[in-house]
Amino acid sequence: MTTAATTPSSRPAVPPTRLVRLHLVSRGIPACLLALAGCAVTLRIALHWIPRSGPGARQLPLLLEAAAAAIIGVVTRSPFGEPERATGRWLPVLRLGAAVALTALAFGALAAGSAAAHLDYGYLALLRDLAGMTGIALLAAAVVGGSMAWLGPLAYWALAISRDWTTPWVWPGRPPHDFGAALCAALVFAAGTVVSTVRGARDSVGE
Amino acid sequence: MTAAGTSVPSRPSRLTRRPSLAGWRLLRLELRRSTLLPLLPLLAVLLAFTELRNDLSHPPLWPVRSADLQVQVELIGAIVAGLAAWTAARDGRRHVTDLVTAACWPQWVRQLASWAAVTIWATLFYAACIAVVFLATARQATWGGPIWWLPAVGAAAIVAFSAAGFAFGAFFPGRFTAPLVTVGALFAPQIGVLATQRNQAWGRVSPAVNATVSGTGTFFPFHPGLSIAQIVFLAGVIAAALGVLAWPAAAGGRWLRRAGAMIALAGLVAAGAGMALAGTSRLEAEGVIVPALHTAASDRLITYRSACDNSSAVPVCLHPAFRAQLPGLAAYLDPALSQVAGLPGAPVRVQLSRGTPGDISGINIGSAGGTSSAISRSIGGPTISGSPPVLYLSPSLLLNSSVARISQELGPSVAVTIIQAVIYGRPAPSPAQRAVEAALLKAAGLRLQAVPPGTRLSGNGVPGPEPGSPVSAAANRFAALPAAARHAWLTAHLAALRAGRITLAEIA
Repeated sequence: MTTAATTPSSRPAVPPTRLVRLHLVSRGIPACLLALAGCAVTLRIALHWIPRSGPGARQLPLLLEAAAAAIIGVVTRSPFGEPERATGRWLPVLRLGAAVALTALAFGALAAGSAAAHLDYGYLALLRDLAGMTGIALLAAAVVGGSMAWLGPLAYWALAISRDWTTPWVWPGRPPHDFGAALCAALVFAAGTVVSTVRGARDSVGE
Repeated sequence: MTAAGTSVPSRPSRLTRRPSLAGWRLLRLELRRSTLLPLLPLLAVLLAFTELRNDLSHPPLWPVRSADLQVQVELIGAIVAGLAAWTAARDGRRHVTDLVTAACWPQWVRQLASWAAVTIWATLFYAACIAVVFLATARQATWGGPIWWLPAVGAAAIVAFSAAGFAFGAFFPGRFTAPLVTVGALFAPQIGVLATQRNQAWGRVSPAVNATVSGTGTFFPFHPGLSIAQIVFLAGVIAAALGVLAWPAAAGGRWLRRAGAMIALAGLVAAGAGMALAGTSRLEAEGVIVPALHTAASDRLITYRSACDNSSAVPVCLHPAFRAQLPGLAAYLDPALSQVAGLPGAPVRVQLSRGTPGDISGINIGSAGGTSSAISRSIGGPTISGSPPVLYLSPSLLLNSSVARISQELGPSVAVTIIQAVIYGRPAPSPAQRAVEAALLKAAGLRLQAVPPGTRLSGNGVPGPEPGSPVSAAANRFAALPAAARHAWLTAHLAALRAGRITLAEIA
């Protein structure tokens, strides 16, 4: 091996497929996809059973959105810890790709789960709420660790349903076309994605 | 050197000598390193902004606050279930499974110690929530005491959530277990709520459903049947979840595993019994009744000594639990009462009617009995009856309502009832009676609206005479008099007015 082989100009522009696959497996993405599919199926069943109006019509779908966000937050946990951080050149790109792709997949799964059923506030609110709560999960992962990241979106869900908030920072209570709520959710998602990309989850190898 | 040369005289280990002390030490270690402990402050902040805030915004009635405490267990219980699942998977997560397998305690005992630590902290936290709510209620409430059955169900639910979550975490360790268990624990009680909404009585076994209705614990006694069924069910869940932990071969010896199996079986039987009891429950006007756990002697209404406010024209008396609402209600009724106080037919007192539990709770069960489709909710209006006349208000008005809400519910009907009871003496009111009624209502501060024939009254107004009509002119003339002069005229002419012998021109 020569030094020329490791010069920056010879690096590929995207991570190799094998690296992507290993990263996804190490984060438990296959199980994550199963869990997201489970959320979608549960949403479909719940929408069949819950009344079309009343608090349950908003709270239970929102809970499943929080669950999907929590799952995305949990997969940020690295089983390798510091060695991966020190040597993983593609790590930020992989983290960013995983976070965005999983959010999109979660939206697709939940939208598919609510197809042909009455989803209170519609798909626009689903996208807003899911993205915002995913941002919270990613931020929580950076603060308390990936293993406990699920506490963030679920605590936010409890806060959101506790009463009629008027602040756009509690966006689930606002109408789907509310610009302020959408902006706040987008900001939180962006912040979560950036923090997750740059720093990753605060995990210890022991956990 | 041989092994024999280095043999150490055998002596009983500390564990053999003091097993109970070692057990306490294990539990103390688990308590100190419990995952729940550092999260309790965060959980307290979350509850302060959500459940506790909602609880303390409700009327300061002991039954209402007690029921709140049972229902708020959903959030605490779900988080505790998730953290219990997280704790159960600890050995695998830290890669010390082989290490702890060689420990002197059987795995089941070690797991029970871990579970006990989570449960003790969770139960203490729930007890702190109960203390906060009940201390605040004790400072605000004016009558009664807590219904301990309801927080007892909550405490049992906390332990059950913890046990079920721990069992899931032990059998399905993984990074997704804790969040999925938490979401499942948030969903599970709602299954019972949804089933109850669909007239499936077994759904009431869910701790999210409580046995109270409006008026429970205030006007009629609390029936603990459903709470007992719920506790039996939750105890069954606890036993089943903990018993199942002993099933794996690594859990302990044969006898221990058999004991676990028996405990799990007993738990399943108890859970089934609790669900069966809840399945026989039915919603009555005085709350949810479980026939097997109900005694007819407990159906009697609660007797109480009314609390009265004498600051208005006539005494206003309410149930002592609503003493805080007395001044506001007296101030609301006083303008109308003061117009006719002392006149024949005028109420000499305002008090709550003593109707059936259905009148009080506003729940009337139809012939189908107990199903939601057969339930109608109604609030009775104010009535004047008796000799001397008494103005009766429906107790259902007061339950879960502030004075502002009561005023909104009553609207102008109470003032109209008071004035008409004094002025009207025959079925068809005379023009003079309508003029005096309009004048008194106007003097009481009500807004009169002229309603042309064929149109409906809008808003919260009271139908009044058409402007410019002789009735309106007489009403304006009478309303313009000083209150004392109006009262004196009424005292002198009320009998004639009620008999229809007064003409519009004769009104002062």
